[in-house]
Amino acid sequence: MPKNKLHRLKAKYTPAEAKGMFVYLEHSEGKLADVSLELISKAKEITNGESIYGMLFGHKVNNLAEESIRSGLDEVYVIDDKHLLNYTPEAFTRCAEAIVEKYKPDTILIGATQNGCDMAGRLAVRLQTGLTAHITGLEVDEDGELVGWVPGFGGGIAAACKCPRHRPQLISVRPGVFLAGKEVKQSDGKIHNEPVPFSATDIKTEIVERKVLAIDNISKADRIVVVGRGTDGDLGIAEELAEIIGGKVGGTRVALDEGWIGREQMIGQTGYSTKPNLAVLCGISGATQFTIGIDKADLILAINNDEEAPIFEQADLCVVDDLFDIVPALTKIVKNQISG
Amino acid sequence: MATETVKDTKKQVIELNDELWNELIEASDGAVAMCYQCGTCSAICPWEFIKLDSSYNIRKIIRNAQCDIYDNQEVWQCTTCGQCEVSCPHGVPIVKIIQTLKNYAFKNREAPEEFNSVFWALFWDGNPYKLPPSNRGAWTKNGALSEYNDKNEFLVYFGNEYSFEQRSIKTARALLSLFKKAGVSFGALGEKEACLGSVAKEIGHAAYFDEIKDERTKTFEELSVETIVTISPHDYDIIKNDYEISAKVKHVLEVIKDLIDSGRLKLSREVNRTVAYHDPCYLGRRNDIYDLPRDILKAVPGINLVEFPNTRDNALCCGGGGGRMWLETPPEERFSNQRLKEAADIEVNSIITSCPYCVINFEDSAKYLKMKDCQVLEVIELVNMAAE
Amino acid sequence: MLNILVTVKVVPKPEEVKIDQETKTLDRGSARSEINPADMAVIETALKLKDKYGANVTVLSMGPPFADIFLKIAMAMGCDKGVLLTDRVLAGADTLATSYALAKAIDAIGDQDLVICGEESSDGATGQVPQGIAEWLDFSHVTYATALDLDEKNNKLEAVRSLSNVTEKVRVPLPAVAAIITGAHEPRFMDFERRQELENGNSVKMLSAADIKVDSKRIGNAGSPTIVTGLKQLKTPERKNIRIEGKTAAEKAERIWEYLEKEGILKN
Repeated sequence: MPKNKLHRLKAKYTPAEAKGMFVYLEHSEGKLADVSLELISKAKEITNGESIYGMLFGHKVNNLAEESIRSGLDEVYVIDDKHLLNYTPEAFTRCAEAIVEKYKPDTILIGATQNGCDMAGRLAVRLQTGLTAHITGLEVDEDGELVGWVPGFGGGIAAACKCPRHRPQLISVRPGVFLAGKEVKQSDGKIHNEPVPFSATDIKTEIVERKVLAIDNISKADRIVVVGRGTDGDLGIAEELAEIIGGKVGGTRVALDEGWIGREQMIGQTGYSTKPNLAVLCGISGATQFTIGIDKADLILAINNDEEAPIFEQADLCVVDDLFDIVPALTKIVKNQISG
Repeated sequence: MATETVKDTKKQVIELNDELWNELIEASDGAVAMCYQCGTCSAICPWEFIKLDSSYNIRKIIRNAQCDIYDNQEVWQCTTCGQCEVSCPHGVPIVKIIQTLKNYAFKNREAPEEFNSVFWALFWDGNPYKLPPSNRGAWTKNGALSEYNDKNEFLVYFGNEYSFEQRSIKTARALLSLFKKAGVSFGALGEKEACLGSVAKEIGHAAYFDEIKDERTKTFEELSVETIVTISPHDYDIIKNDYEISAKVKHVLEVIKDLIDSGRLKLSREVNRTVAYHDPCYLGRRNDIYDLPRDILKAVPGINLVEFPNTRDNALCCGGGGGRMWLETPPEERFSNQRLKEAADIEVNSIITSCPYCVINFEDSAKYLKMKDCQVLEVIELVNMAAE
Repeated sequence: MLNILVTVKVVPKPEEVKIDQETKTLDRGSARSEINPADMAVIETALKLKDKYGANVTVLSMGPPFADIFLKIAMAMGCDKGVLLTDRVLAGADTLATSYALAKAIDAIGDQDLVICGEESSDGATGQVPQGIAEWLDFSHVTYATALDLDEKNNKLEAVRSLSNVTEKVRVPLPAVAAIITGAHEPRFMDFERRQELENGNSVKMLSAADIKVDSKRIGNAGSPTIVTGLKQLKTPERKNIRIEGKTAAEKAERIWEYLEKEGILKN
């Protein structure tokens, strides 16, 4: 192993020398990522009025820096360069390292998006520090230390993790775990433009092709009408109901295999995890590989002809009837209530 | 006329595959050589009904084998239904030959990749559905299944479908109800139950089946059980004919018949229906069990039992055997469609059978053919309806 | 000849792991073990490259001694060599100490062009180890890859990255670490002749911490900046199981609407 990579054994700096909670700001296609706004909000809440900071790397991103200030950050450190237009591990990790070296953050909150995780994993080793990953909860314990809850074992068990001595402590957070706050219209936040800490030859990753996917996947939908085997591919009534309730159509593995839905609509173990306010399950029996993608819904309404279908154990409202009768009837009522 | 001088007279023009031929001879006890290419098998094979001039041609497959030409493309179509064997004038064990050819493909890494996920599911989870093995008893909800102990009358081996598959679980519940009514004391393996390997064997992977068989045999011997009762004909067939264990093996219909004959089960509720019984391949053709289910059905009061035109050893295969439950078949090519059409022809809308694959396939075909009134039930369910 | 190394983890079946209520620690005693499902695609990815370009594929795992039977499974699929890093002093490691130990093992094995890892493991599910290994070894890395290919002429790895709203095709120089998305490839089944051969021999090489010359301050608890201070069992929310009754579909739909309104579900 390269000798110069054998870093100092001790932490880069102690908690006493560290300053402040930082949020790593992620952006895509000209917008700040939702998760970054969620993290700003959480940072504000958990630090109880102390100053909170951001780090932002990109090209021509001043407007995003301003948006992050309006969302609650007190200061933002920006590195702007054309080589930061798209994420590469080398450039972004180096930028984060440079900010850390200069400003010695205590904590860095990172959204657990794919690129966020990509960078966080490399950065943790670069900085020889701890990374508490994919947390679903964050609190301060009686010693005043941050504790992150990390789920494991298929989501069945969560572990409380701390990083007592090493700084910065890196914490990655799943999108949607925290709520984004409203803009506070802070006008006295500071934007610092930092020097570019790398040269073009440091970047090893060449992006040959990049395609932005037009369709949003089902994971963010707030209301979902899910189609299963019982619909027999007849999606019309599901689509009508979805439209009238302002929701999207999702499907099970069966629906994908039969070609009734696309991959971005599939819910379940090998598909997307969802957290909708309302889920209407049409003709779904309730296999575990599906239900683990929907069981965090606030309310589950299941419609199935078969009284013994296991799905009914996992539903709040259970309708044992023909979905081809119930779904249109429900659509009709909702339509009337909205217009009436 | 140009002639070519063959310089090396020892040079062979066709690559002969002695290895394969020897395997076929061994597997069939020499009978593969008895095929005299009459073509009756190809004519009677269900594929010929599904698609005329089907690419699946048994005669050609055996001819290739006899000429040592290894061409395994079509063998995966075989459902091991055995209809060909019934008509073969020379008693050639055709199914065994096809299975040997399939196994040969596995040994040479030339088998279809579609089966890989099924094998891994069997390997990691002990069932082809990729469902957690710890969920095997979950369908009983309130712990109605108890673990086998030697005070039980017998051990019930439920199998993959009756433990995990939605439709088959209904039949399993009916069986529990039936046993309760008759006061039967039985036990199950619960979480320790795992696939007996018929899936692997029927697909054609003999080596993997052997590994599974060794493991399960250990489980049974450790339990020192006297009688094992199976429900799926595929489980019955494999444990009766391929396993070598000290326990006695019965099919659940034998047990039900005993319960009726001894008066432990009283069939007093009338079930007024006209039903036709479908002989599953693995119970009928493969194990000669034809009368038993019919005798049971005749004991159900109010039943009018009729026969399909293609019945007993001419029964129309549902298409599920030979590993085909785990392969995609276009809906219009499914064997099970034929039986549904036959039911419509004889104006019967209750098909009774005793195999989970048949039930699943017939219900799928009923949906596809939009035959809403057609109901498919197992003998177990019908008996439970009649039992008090 | 290309040298490819795949890392696999042997994990308990997640649904069979419980929390011991008294000691508040993990009870994985009775749980069945398996190769981390995400790693099956990793093995297949490596074997596909081996089929296409020819390669020496080594499968490496860090775990208890019994994990060797799982390495034999990977070898029966087609991996050429199996290495098990097993040593009690490595236990209690967080991801920094784990990626360090694995990196040292890879270094000790030597000369690897490509290291392929799974996206995350079913137990810890942190998804950090592949990038960590790359950083320790000063390799380039690619995460969330669905397909790998080689640009032999330029000694580069080509990968398709699948992100939630973007698909990228990237090129990185070898040596590299690639993390493959769960389920990216359907793994081939084992070759049973090979399985038989492996059964009988000591085909898996065992390495200890000393063999790979670790720095004792970087392994196990000592080398772990993060610690676990507690565990809790997460339950899926209890469902109400309210049966909607009615003589007609319209009546049932009416009842459903009443409930939704009461709960304020379809407010806007």
